[in-house]
Amino acid sequence: MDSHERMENDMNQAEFRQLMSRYGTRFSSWPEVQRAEAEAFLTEHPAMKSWVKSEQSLDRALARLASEDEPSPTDLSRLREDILNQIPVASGSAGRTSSDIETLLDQFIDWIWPQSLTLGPLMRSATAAGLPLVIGAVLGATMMTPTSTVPEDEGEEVYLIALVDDAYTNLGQDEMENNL
Amino acid sequence: MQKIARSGEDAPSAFAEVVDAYLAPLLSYCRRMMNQSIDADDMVQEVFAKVWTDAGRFNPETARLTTWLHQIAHNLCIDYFRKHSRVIEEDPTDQDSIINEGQETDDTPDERLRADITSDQVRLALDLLPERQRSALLLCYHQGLSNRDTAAILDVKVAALESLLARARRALKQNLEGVHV
Repeated sequence: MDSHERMENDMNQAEFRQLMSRYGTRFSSWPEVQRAEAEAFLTEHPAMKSWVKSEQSLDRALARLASEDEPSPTDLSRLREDILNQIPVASGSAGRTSSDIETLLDQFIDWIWPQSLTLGPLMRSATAAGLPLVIGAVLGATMMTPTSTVPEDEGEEVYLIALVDDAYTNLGQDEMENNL
Repeated sequence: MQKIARSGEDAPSAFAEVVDAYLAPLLSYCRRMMNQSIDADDMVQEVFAKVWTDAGRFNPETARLTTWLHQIAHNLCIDYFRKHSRVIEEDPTDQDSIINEGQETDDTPDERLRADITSDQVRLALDLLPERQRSALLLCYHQGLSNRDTAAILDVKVAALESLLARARRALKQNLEGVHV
């Protein structure tokens, strides 16, 4: 076997193993095209058949283990009771915990910037950082009271005095001089 | 899950339905991950406690319910190992790389597995695997999840999972040659 031929075999072997990882050791569950190619490959490489058999044995051992590991009905029944007893009896908002509130907040943020978007996680962080600013602005706009304590009619009077006050304008003095 | 998330009057019965449907596989997974530790039962209770509180986070458009539940269980198991100082052995190969399986194994095409292998030996051999390899094998072959679902749970691409599975199977076979029960 020359080096070129060996490389070709290696490549085929790699592909074959990869397909085995992808579709499992039961050829019946492989797509038809790949199954035909795999069967042709095994015909050309009989040494691989023992490898396939060992893979199938491993699958059987794992399947046997899975069936043996199935929990007993007694264990399941006891655990089921424990689990159902641990949930809060009160439903609705009364039963909500801080983690429920976090969940609602997460849902709200996810509604604004779905995590599935490409920039979703980045925008969610930016939203979280900017949220205090927005809340501050809203609170400031809605809750701020006027700083002036002068009643409206008094304010008007002060304004009129300022117009005729010589200290601020010379209008009053000019008019008086003209009249004289 | 929406009924649970809304916490309405029908939430407990909807929750009980989820428990009935998924308790057995999740308990089986946690027990195998934690090598039959008694803590596995507590772990499953914790999984369902999270289901109760975080039901609103489940999005049926992005994942199947079984995938989401196994993901919670898997993450809790990993957290448990970290808290209890169990060394989480990483897979020695880069998790996201796709290695050429043929180059690694072309010298050993005839990897025979003993016919008289027992389940206890498989359990021991599994427990010797690095955490990610064990998770991948258990989720695919023990829990019967698809490669796509398993990849989502382990947060890797499907192609990376296929490589991980191939390495895990090879390592398991090597472990099986070494274990004696």
